Amino acid sequence: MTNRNDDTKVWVELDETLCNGFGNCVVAAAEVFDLDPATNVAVITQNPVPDDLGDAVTDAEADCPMRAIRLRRQ
Amino acid sequence: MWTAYQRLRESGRVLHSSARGGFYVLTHFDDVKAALRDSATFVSGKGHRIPMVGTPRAIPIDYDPPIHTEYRKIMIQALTPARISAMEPFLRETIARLVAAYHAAGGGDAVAAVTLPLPLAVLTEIVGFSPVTVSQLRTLTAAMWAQVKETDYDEARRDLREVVDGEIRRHRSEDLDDYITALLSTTLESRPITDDEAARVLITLAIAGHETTMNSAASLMWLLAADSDLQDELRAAPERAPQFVEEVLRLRTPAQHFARTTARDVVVDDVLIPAGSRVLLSYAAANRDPDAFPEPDRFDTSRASRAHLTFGWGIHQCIGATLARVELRILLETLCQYPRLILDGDPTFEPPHGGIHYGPHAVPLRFEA
Repeated sequence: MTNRNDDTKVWVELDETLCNGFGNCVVAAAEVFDLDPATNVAVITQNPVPDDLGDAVTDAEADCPMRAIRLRRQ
Repeated sequence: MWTAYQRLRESGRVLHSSARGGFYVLTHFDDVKAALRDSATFVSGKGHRIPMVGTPRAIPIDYDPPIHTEYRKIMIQALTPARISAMEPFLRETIARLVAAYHAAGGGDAVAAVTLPLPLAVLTEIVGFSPVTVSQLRTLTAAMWAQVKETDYDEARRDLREVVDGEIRRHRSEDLDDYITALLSTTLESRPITDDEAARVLITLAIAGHETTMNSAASLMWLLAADSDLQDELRAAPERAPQFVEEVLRLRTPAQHFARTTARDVVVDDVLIPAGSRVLLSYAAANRDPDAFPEPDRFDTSRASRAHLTFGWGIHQCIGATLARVELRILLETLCQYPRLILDGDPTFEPPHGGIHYGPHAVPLRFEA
């Protein structure tokens, strides 16, 4: 077990100016990302991310072809 | 075709063929996706085709970072979400006009009447090609596919290049305000884009901008007409059109595979793929992998099929994906406003264009009286 502070939360940051609407983040973590049908750009639906979705949003960050997603832990 | 992919998938996760100079094939969803994610191991600079004749020069698919990143950045300018949203009225109007004319004619071949004219019209709007230019693209692209397996990039695309060069000259001499105008004055990281690079960007947009959309839209209209339950399901809930679009894209994968080359030794399922091997990534087989999509041959709008690999995945993922999804959704919504589509004969098929692109060649349909 690590001594990680249990209060540490994962926050998602999205650069909407980079997002190109591929939707890979929605595939990786549908609980956290959605695509706005009017703008074709991703939106974050919950922040900070629930603890059990840490791996999913890590995938979302890695899978974005535009590098528009950054995770922040604090 | 699809049963052949099933046999391939069942015969192993990593297959090897000694044909065409020898190459490996990945057919399982997880393996194909992992390879697409790992673009440092599965590189593109040695070409996206098997076999690759001559020097691979297609922008951006035959390149690796860092130059690939620069090429992609300038190409994405044509296809930003903001541009696509702004284009939606144009798309609605174009699709309404094509479907109205198709209905007035009593149906006929959906490819000739709807699914080819649609992406060609979009290319005039989004790129700035003239109507005369786009009217030549299908014939020239088909001629290119016929030669591409035996000749190199420039030889196979000689006629397309002539047309594109004409567009570059036209944009230099006339005062136009469109994507081509912007492209010609683009600066890459450290230098202005060359005319040769601009021409190859435009050739990619000309080919990829219509071949895949034409095939997907044709598959969509065919599947709808061939399955009355499916058509009823859509007409009862047209707001679910996006899920229909994803299932068509998954089941009828228009670009069936692309190739990569291994930059180092890599092990997949205990099979060593040595550095320097050509590897074919079968999107079509992966999209029907039962481990990723249970009962994979079933058209099921309730599954999370957006996860498919039809557009690839990662740094080379199709930049036209959002546009294609919007076009296909509007096409479905528009068709729901007309009487039901019915098959008026069997669709015809040709072998995959250029060994890669697959869709119905002709789809004879009529409208219910």
